Amino acid sequence: MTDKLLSIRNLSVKYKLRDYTINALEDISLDLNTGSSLGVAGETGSGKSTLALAIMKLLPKYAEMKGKIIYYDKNLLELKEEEFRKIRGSKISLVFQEPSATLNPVMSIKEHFLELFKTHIPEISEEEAIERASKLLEETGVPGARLRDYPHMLSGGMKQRVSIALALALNPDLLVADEPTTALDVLIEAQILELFKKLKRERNFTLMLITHNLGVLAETVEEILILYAGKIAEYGKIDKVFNEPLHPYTKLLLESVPSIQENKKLSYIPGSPPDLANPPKGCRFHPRCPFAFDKCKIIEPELKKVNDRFVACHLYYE
Amino acid sequence: MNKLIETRNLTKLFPVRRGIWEIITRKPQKYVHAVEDVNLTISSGEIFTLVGESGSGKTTLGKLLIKLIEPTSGSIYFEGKNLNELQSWDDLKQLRRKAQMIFQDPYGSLNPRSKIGSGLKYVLDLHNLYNENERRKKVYEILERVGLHPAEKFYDRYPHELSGGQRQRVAIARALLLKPKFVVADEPVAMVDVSIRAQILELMLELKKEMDLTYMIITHDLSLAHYIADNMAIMYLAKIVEMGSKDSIFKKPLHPYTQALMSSIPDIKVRKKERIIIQGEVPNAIDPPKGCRFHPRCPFAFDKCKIIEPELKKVNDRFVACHLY
Repeated sequence: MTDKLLSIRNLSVKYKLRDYTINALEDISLDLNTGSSLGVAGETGSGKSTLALAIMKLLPKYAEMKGKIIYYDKNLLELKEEEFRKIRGSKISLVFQEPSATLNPVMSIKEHFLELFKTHIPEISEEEAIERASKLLEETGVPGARLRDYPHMLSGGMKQRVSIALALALNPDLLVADEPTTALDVLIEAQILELFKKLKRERNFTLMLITHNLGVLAETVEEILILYAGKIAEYGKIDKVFNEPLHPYTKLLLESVPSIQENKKLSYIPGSPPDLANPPKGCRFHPRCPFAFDKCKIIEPELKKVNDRFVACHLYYE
Repeated sequence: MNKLIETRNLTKLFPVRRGIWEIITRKPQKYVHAVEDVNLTISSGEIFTLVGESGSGKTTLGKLLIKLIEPTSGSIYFEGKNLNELQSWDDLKQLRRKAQMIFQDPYGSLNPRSKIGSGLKYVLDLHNLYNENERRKKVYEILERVGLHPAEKFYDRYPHELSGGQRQRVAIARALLLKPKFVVADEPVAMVDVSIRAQILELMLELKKEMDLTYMIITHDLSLAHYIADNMAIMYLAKIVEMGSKDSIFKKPLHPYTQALMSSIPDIKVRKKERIIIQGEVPNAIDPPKGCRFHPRCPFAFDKCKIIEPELKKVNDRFVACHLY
């Protein structure tokens, strides 16, 4: 269980726009072991989706990437588009937030599957493709008969099940899910989360779940990575991080989420996330941090190992 | 506590547009059942929270209460006055000074072409309150109060220059500018970031205390209801299925739907979750199921549920619409 599937080293993504540059991700390093599950949490603009798109190499042309994404000894960033196309969707696949945007409205569900199978396995016969497709649908809880349907005939939850089936169709090693339940209602969200857990048990893929909803992560993943303004604030086992958050941002974030388990006044983080075209000097969180001291304003903290996890905060350096 | 709002058998049906073929063949007109037979009371000074999934009719109910839309049948009493009787423009204007709404989407609720200040001042212009100078001063005051300072700077900005949280503050300012008694807030924090949510909620609570407000907060998020509500109602397919004080409902939810909702909320304090998984999805509101509307998905449904629709009845400390009780 300890073999590395994907390692990211010093990944930085910059969006070069006409008048300014946005530092969407800076110096991200992480390791995903086969069969593990990692949650990526952060607010809007923290770089969560950029990370997903960078792994999938789906970033727009004006994005500049530095660093390495190593998948089985290959640096994905150096692969040519034709080579990467063999990996994308088959070995590494992505589930998007908005299932209506994933599915093509003028193609039936069957055509989605046929296109996918024919692209990646040219020799597959149509009958076999259809058979595999309906099996996949059943596995994700959609009646096989819905193959003939068009996306608009399915409800939001069904569409998300179909996009999960499509993502899993070629048995990927890594499934990246970007806010897969955010567009869904609570009861349907619960169904989809249970589905993820079931599929993960049965197929043992590696899961990277990106969401702003910390409650969703609490029950689905083992490790968590907290992003703030494009940088890793804290990274470690989720039990440890949630029980005893070290980074002030993690601490405040956890205290600002209401829980029905307790009656506690919520605390909140003053101010709002920084402008990434012009991030603050020193620690990016210092203008909002209640524990900030002089050093935080000048020197940017590095991500360092503190006991059982990684934290980027000056409070924890000797 | 005295009643601020009371509804009696409040119902809103939206006609479904018929195609030419349905008109020629004289198919009966169909309706989307948005709100049906709702009886509720909101007392002054409380925070009443309405919880439901999308399509349950919670927003429609909120809009009905402040007469943004007209009910199909039934009535609403606001401070004892039947809102159905308010017809003239002046009556409606009087109502607007007392009842306001905060919308979910701060990107959609602010006019992108009008400056923050002039958008807010327009409210006072419409109601012809104060003179020109005072209006500007009042707008400055409220901007400062909702945490947008310096107000002079925000006065001349356009909505696109503000973040989501700041926009929602403007929406709150607009709703409170006329010093209303009752404010319907439709998912006030659903569109803002997690770290900003608590700020907005705290602001709303402070303002409630200062201005003696009564809130009806509409949300799909039970943990938000748990945090903020005094009393709450849970809606499913246009009907209230359970209603009572927050404490009693959270301590022991009675309706199977409420139970399922509670067991489904992802919670940071719970690592391994035992949940009641409800199969299927919300049925079509054009043709709601016979009997209890929840019966096709209910794990406890029995024969009676399929035939007879349960009424909302008093059970101990609350109201529940379920044959189990």
